[in-house]
Amino acid sequence: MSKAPESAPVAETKAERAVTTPRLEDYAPGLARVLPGGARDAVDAVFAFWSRLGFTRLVIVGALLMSIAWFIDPSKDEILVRTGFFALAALGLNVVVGLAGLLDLGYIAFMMIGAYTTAFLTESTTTMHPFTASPWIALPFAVLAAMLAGLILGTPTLRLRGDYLAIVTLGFHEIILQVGKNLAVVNQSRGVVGIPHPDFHLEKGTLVIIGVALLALAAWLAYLVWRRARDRVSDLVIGLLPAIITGALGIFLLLKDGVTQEFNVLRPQEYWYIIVVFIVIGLFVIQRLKDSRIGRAWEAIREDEVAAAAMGIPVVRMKLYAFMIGASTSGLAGWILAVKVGFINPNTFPLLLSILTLCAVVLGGVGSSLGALIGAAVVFGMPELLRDLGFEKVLGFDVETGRIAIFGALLIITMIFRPGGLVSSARRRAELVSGADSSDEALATRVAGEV
Amino acid sequence: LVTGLILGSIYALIALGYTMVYGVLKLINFAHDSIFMIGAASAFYILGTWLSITEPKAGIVLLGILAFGLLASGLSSAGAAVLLERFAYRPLRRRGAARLAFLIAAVGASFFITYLFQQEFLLGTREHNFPAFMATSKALTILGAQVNNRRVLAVLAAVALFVFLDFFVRKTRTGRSIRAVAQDIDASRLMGVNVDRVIVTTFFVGGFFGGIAGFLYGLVFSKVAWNLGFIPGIKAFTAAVLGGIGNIRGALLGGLALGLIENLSTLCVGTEWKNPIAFGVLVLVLVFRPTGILGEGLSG
Repeated sequence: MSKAPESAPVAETKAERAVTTPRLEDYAPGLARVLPGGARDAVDAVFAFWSRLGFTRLVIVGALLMSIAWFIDPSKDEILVRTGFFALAALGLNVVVGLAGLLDLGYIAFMMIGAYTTAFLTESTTTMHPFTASPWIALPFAVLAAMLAGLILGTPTLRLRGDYLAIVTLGFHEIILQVGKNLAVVNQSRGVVGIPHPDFHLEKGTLVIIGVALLALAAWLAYLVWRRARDRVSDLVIGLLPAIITGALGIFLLLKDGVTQEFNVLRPQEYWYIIVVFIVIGLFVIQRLKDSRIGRAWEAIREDEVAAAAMGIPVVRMKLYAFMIGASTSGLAGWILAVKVGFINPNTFPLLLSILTLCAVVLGGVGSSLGALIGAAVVFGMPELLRDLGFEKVLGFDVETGRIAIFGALLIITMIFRPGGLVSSARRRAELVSGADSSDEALATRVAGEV
Repeated sequence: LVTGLILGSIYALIALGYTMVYGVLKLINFAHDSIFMIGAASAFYILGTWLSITEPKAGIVLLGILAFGLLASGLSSAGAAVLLERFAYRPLRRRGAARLAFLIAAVGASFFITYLFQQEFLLGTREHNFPAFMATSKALTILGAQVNNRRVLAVLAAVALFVFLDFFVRKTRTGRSIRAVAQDIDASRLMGVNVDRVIVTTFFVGGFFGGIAGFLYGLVFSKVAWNLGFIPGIKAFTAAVLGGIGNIRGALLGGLALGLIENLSTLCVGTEWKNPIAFGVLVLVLVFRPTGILGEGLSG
């Protein structure tokens, strides 16, 4: 922004507007060129409105995602849950690979740790230990265990040059697999069965308390917005949205008699809701982190580690944070897997899954949370859907195994032609390609403004 | 112990591919494990399917088949490696892609090749027998251990190739340009070295050695499968890092050391723990001596 000429304040504000609101041509320049001007402006207007919504967006996205479960055929629920599950995992991996630039090829090992921790704490069929806990109590432990594993693996290895990390994490996955296969306490390769499903029951009284709390929160939010943006109607409407949503939720809970929710394998829908809640929380946390000091440190490290260190960024610690956040997301996903399926063994977590999750992140767009979700849908949802629709083979490839070959090729092609993935902003492209694209002046100013 | 040495020499041969490419491009060529697999697979195709050699042969015929098989495996792997460079890495280089992009492309390539071979029209998911053209005989007794002829062959081939390669890189003109590019790619371009050709040569040599390793691996363990490359690939990379990546002698040393470590851990702790121990050693080495035992650099 500092580059803008001082003599033309009007031009400067216009330029500022251009850099802060995303436009269609940032994401799909080809499409933007093809579309007529009116349509393009309309899309840009939608983008602009969308970007001003702030974190209300997350609630809307969450609601939309949840509602998918009502529209699709119940027989597809399983696919939906599986896709959502890996979308959550991809979200976490995106922090590691996309934000901090660490290539982690053993990501699913943390998922295995999370799942096994859950299994160990809750399992009740064999007498591995004297106590059994509820799945909800196991949840924080699963996340913590995965995080701890990330810390233990990361502390020595993140000091190394980046290239080695890939192979070390790959080796780590193999080690964890072998340990799972050989450790008697987790039944070796037979795995653990009989992990209970979570359920919860809320009394009328509890609901009233939560409902009142939500209403109070809504009133407070509304007051804040009113004080700040009283004079601008459009800002007011946008700002009041979160308050309205919170309030509506509070009233809804007040009207209910009590909620009993039981989960079981036959109705995967409920798991979809849990996953969506976690995804929304994840999106929120990641967005906040991205904008924080830590997020900027990650970016600096990703672009030039030596320079970042020279600027006083504690490189190893920042990398560790990214690694641990990724690991804990993976552990969380592991918890969901364990309580949903109720049965895990080392073969549930092949190395292949680590690679496929990486494919999802890279294809979707390195560093973009939305991209990670879309990538997961493509990598994990599409093959299942294709098989469900009766495609046994696509282009002579078996749908289940051949997809890996296809995705492998896609990874190369993506890296060559669209290194930012499906969802890539101009800024990410400029970072990934240090060639002619980024020297384009307009782009350069836009990038400078965005930073 | 002797088994460890045999395994180690195969690791060393694969490790060479990693080391050469890393030395020149500073890139971990994750696809090298599939290049190695191609070596074994092409031996299976050419000898087993096309020439349908199933009977053990002897004398001059055996030698002929061996030489032909080694050459064929080496060439097909080298061809695959060159293709990989041409279609995956070179476009990335031209576009000045980031390091992460190279790594991801390499992972992609590895999975592409491996799972291509898993499809029915190639190897499929089954495990095949390696063409049994060589009778197993208890040929020698070394240090009290019985060693059959196939294994002796594997070790001899590895050592011979290493001696040759060391000579090649140190003394010949091409070797000198490889070392130049390894030191400074831009400077050597300015000095008139054809960088692209050097890189292709590197991939060719690395691929050739990988292919030969694939052939020997198939010979020693009598099997060929689509996922054969994965574990040896990781191990060989470990070996390369162990000895000092980018360093040819380091690859040999690291390979042998890793083979021995693995075999010792099998003897002392049990087979199921050998992979964790091998990786544990890798992590330890990296922590205490990040550039490996002999240090980095092709020139060293």
